Amino acid sequence: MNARHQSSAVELSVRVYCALLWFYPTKHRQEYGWLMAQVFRDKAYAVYHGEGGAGMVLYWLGSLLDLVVSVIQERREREYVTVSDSNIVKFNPYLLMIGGALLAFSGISQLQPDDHYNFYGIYAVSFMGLPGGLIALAAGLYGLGRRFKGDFGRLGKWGTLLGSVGGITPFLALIVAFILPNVDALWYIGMSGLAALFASFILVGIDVLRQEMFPRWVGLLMIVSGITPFIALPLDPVDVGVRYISFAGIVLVGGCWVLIGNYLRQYPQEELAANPASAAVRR
Amino acid sequence: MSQTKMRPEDMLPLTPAVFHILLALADGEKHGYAIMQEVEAVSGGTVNMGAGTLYGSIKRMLQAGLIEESDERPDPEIDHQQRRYYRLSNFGERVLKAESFRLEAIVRAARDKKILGGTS
Repeated sequence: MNARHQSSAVELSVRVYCALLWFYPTKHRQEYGWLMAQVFRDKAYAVYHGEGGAGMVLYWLGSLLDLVVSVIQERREREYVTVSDSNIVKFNPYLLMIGGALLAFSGISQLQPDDHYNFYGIYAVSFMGLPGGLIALAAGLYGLGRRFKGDFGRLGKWGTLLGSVGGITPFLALIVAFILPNVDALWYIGMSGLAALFASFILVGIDVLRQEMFPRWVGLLMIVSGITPFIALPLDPVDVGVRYISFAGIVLVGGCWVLIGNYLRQYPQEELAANPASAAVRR
Repeated sequence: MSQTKMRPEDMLPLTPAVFHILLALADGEKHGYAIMQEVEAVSGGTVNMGAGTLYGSIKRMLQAGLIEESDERPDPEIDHQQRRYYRLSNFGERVLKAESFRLEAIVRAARDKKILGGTS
């Protein structure tokens, strides 16, 4: 077999191997893909030179097995890393603060003097803060649950999950309502989501107090932010007129989460990164 | 980051791939393919590390502070290809020693039980 034929056979193998590298997560591929291809090429030349075509077949079988196993490992790890290092976890205090601020801002809509089915002007603008606030709070709660998954008890874990789902539900219901405006069920779905979100604040707050993860005031603020809507919103007249109590209640809930987010923002983050690195090289 | 504060024992037991890579780097810095060759030679061909396993392990070892990427490049006439070289960190050296002692204790126990033909 001449050297040119040998070279083209190996180079074809390398091209196929490079194509298979696309199965790896992008970041891993960008950082190590070319190095892996380089090692594959070096080894392929050695195998082809020493063992010929049969050796190459065995080498390919071994490489494919290695590729499948390591792709699964990198994908699984990436999931772990992106969850523990992801923007949602990393920025969870900011998401909670933004969510709280938007929710508080949306409270202005309750000051509209007439009916609350058609918001206008500043009331309409402030009402637009509600879906954004809910999404940010849902993402923030999800991040909170992931970030402190080792510290939360069962109540906190389920609470943060319930809050994530509960926060997204009204947002989705609102979007669907734009497409299907006359479906009453969407209103009930949205309200159920909101109730679940507020209930989750109470659950998470209780768990924070039970587990003594943070200072007591953090858990208490969570509980207050969960109980307030259930008390304040029903006290106001329905749908017509200025709803001062609802306004105050919503601002209070939003303010609580701004304070909680601000506390979590200053919470040390070193622990987040320490364990995965050591665990990754241990058996 | 906290690796420097960690004790070598906290990293044990190592995966076979990580232990072999540390061992391969014990006598100097090497690039990926050289590590792969060394591992194969030291293990008598029983450990055949693919490129995926090799660089997956290297990535995690860099993150754990066991190895470092070397800034120095060997003589371009010896190695004209663009490669990345890795070397043991001080922490990696301590972890390698700790793991070697751990394995040695296991081998000693096996010897005591006459599995390896009696006490040496």
